[in-house]
Amino acid sequence: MAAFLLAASEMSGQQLTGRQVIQKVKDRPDGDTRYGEMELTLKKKNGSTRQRKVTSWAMDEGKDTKKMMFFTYPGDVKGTGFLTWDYDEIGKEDAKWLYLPAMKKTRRISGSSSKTDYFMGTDFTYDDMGQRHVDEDTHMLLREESRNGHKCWVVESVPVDKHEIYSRKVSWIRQDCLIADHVEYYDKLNKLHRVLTIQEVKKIQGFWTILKMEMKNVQTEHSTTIVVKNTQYDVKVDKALFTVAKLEKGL
Amino acid sequence: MRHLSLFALLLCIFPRPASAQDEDSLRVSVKGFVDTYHAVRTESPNDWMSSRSRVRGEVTLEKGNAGAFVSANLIHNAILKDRSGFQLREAYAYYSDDHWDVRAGRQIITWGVADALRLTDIISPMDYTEFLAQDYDDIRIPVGGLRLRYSREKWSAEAVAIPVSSFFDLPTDAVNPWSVGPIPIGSEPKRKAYNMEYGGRLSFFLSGIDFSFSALHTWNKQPVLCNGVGEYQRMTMLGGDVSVPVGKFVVRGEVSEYLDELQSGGARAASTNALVGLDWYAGNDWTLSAQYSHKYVVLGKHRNTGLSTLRIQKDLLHNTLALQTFAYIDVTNGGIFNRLSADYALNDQLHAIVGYDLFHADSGMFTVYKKNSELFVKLKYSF
Repeated sequence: MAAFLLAASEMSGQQLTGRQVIQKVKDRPDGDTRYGEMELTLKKKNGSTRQRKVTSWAMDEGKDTKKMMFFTYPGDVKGTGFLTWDYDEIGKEDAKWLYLPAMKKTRRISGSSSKTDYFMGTDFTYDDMGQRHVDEDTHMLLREESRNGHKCWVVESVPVDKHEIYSRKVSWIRQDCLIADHVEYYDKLNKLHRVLTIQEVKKIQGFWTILKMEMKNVQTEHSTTIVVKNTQYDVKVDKALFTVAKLEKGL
Repeated sequence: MRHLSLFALLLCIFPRPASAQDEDSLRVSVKGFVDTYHAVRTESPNDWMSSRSRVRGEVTLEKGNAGAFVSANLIHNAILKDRSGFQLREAYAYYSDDHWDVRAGRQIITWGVADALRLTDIISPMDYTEFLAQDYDDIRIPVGGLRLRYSREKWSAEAVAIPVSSFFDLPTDAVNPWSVGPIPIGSEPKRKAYNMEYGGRLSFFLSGIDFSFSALHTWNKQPVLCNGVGEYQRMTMLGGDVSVPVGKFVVRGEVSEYLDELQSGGARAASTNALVGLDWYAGNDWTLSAQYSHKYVVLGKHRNTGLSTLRIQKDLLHNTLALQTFAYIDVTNGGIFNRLSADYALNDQLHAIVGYDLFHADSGMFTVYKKNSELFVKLKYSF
């Protein structure tokens, strides 16, 4: 880990390409398995709030990732589960299953459709919540500058697929922990649409971890805050957890 | 005993925190809802079709790999008085480790990939007390039995045994607005070991396709009219299903062969059932789903029948408002039953739902309900 940070520190002194920076962010160590509990608070312009709570597990298999996620709040969606096998290979569709406890039924759902949809009514898209492949955007390093006391790379990313909901995004990537401090998403008319602010980052078990972040739609003034609790890395989970049978069994 | 059951259900209303998550401690999970549903006929005589309120409690107790699940309703039904009271839905004990999952007791078992249509999904029968004008999860009747499942990463094998079968609940009482008429129902099969249901399902879950094979030695669970009396007879189902995601679509297919199925009039003959479905995840919170199901019977006057469904759903206002239309279309006779609804989340716990059930038919399965179009309202508090 120390060697990695040293390497990162050395690299920061060199001129990297935008792609190299984003690849470094993607390759940031996060253990082979992960567990976390998320509280999502949706806030309307008038101040009223809604809440969702999610518990999730993830496991890396080579460059691919398997995830299991269950809603624990509110009551009407409690027990609803998502199983996802995310493939790193471009063009290979992710495999996704949705379990609906009221129906006692698992559905195979489309692996590609929901990426640009908003996740459960929040201001985060499924793409924001998942692992976007580095080459789904073209990246350009704009400059290096300090933001909130952190030395950052500023990278502009333009999606290759013109059907994405943003025309470009600009990320301030912290050089000390390889986590974005601030991201601006611009719409098709190149107007600022959404702003992601990472509000709390902490090292847990030696891994840099986001504990709190907010995505705000500056056009509608609707925002979503995600608080991550009880994050654990390298948890003891068998790959048998990431199966349809376990999805149906529930938490 | 009944008072004890009511007390147990009321205890379920008050959520208690789950205890610590370590393996050896007893973990308790509670969820449920309180809802009230009222529907009025939009045609003369504009009478109330449904008026019911209930509490649903679901409790899971788990320690290590073993646990128990109980789900029950406490209902007040102002129209169907005999439906009021305590109603046990599921009650089963289970053992589950990395690969084995055993459930014993009263449970809902679902097979297949069809949406609201039954081809291979014929283990848990249907409660047609209010026909299809209920939530689909309320229509399934649990069965008492044993389910054993062994699963690996990309496949699972399941065996089921149901010693005493459950059958369709049909509305034959004249006071029920959903009555199909005073049909005499013959006696259910004797509770003998040789009358048990048994079967199995082998399922595969791969990166680009899911598919299953299933077999079940069972009964026709919806009574078939033979000389004016609804009867049950043995039959065997052999079936399979498949789901293939293709971009924004998922293509679904399901087939089943009912061997020796009891036909109207008393003859026994095989029937072939096939379904094709298409789900379109169109983006912007639009979901569209269409299915066509065809039944072919080897003998009889009406050998071919077709039934379609169409579902369109749109979520709005950050998923707080869901608009949905779901239609059953009797392709053979031209009838339709369509449920149009708007579900608004007033807050995290409380949903208000309004909707309209439209029946239109001159012949076929929906004819008996052609004057049952209704406007409904529902309030649901989930915990």
